[in-house]
Amino acid sequence: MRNIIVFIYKYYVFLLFLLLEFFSLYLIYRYNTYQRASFINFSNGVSGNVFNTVANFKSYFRLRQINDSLQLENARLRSELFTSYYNNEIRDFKVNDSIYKQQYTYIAAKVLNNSVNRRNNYLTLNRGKIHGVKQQMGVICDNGVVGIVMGVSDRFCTVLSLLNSNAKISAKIADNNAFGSLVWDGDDPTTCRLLDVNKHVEVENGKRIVTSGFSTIFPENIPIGEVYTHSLEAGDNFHTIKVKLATGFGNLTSVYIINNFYKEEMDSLETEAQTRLTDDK
Amino acid sequence: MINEVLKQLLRLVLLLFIQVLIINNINLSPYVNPYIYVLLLMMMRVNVPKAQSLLIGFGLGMLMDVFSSTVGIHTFATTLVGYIRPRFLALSLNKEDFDGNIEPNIANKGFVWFFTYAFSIIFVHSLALFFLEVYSMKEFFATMQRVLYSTGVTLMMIVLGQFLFFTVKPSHD
Repeated sequence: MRNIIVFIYKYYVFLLFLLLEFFSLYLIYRYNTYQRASFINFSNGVSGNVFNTVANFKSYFRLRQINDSLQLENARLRSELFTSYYNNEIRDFKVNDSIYKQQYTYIAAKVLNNSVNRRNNYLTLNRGKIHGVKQQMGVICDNGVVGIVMGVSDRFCTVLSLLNSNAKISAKIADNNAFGSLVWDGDDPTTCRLLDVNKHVEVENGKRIVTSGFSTIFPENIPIGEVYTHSLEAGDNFHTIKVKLATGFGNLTSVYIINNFYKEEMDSLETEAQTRLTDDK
Repeated sequence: MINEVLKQLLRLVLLLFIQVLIINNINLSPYVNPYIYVLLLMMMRVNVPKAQSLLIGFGLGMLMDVFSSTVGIHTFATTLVGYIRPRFLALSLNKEDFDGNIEPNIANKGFVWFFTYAFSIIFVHSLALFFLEVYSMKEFFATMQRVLYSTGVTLMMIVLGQFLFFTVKPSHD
């Protein structure tokens, strides 16, 4: 017993070092998985207020730019109004709301903190639980896809940016509906890679890439970008496609959080099917 | 003593301010992410007890993690720095320095010593930080590039900062 105490006394710095390092490794391991929300929720509340103050200053200097983009978006939305369509048959209107039941609503949010130059980038937005934000909601801006909500505190949320090694978004080529998944390499914040597009599919530079709508997170046909370069290695079954992103991650200021009313229903159905499959085995 | 603590607290606030609100917003390149906040650990007086150095490193990392929406990676890296710093000092300083309890800056120890000191600390910090951030060995060379470039830029900023705040005597060895 005495020896143990002497040992601990002698090496207590080293033991303390090991203890602290194991603790942080435990944190990293525990929260590096996709669902790392609880700690983030806490730290959000602390840092969110600081970022909020700074974002207020910064947005003042960008007012002209923001005005321009809002005007553009208004023009676009106006052109999508019922009244701007020539109505020859009612069926033309069923976009995603077949019998006029709303499936998606959008929550406008402001970007408080953002980065593009790390391997794993996150955003902080000024909307949280009290505004109806939940985990796993999609985030878009007026040009294209931004990311997925990960952690939510009362007034803030963190978003897993598309520019993150954990982000994988289901995408398709707009013309021929060939789908694949979109991931980020980590070197250029303006391009991503589209994986798993079969080699028999025709790909051309400049073709539009949009969301596939297979997940419950993003609606169909939200723009992501366009094909920048593509190649097919000999003996490879899939195209190598680089996608020029439509979203300018460097100067994001206002974004929209997507709320899907049928998300839970769809998700629970899918997990049910999954469990039934594994039970059968 | 109180003075010393106040000075360190002031430094902490200033460094965090510069790091979080200015440097983290400069998007130079995905390969260059300077983290100058380790300066706080580097500039602690040489006689700070080892355990205290560890705990300060741990706390500083936690704080930085909160402000960069990461978990544990900064904590790990700064705790590591808190552990190796006293060992590096014990190897490279003489008895006078410890008796005088000096601050290991460029004015007290000269350019060459400070450069080596800063490089070792920053390199270890970046190595731990960037590999933990990527959390895989798949992109080893890209991550290594990240480590090297970031170390270089951080080193430059810190050494230039030293010239800004201290008058440098010609190296005495």
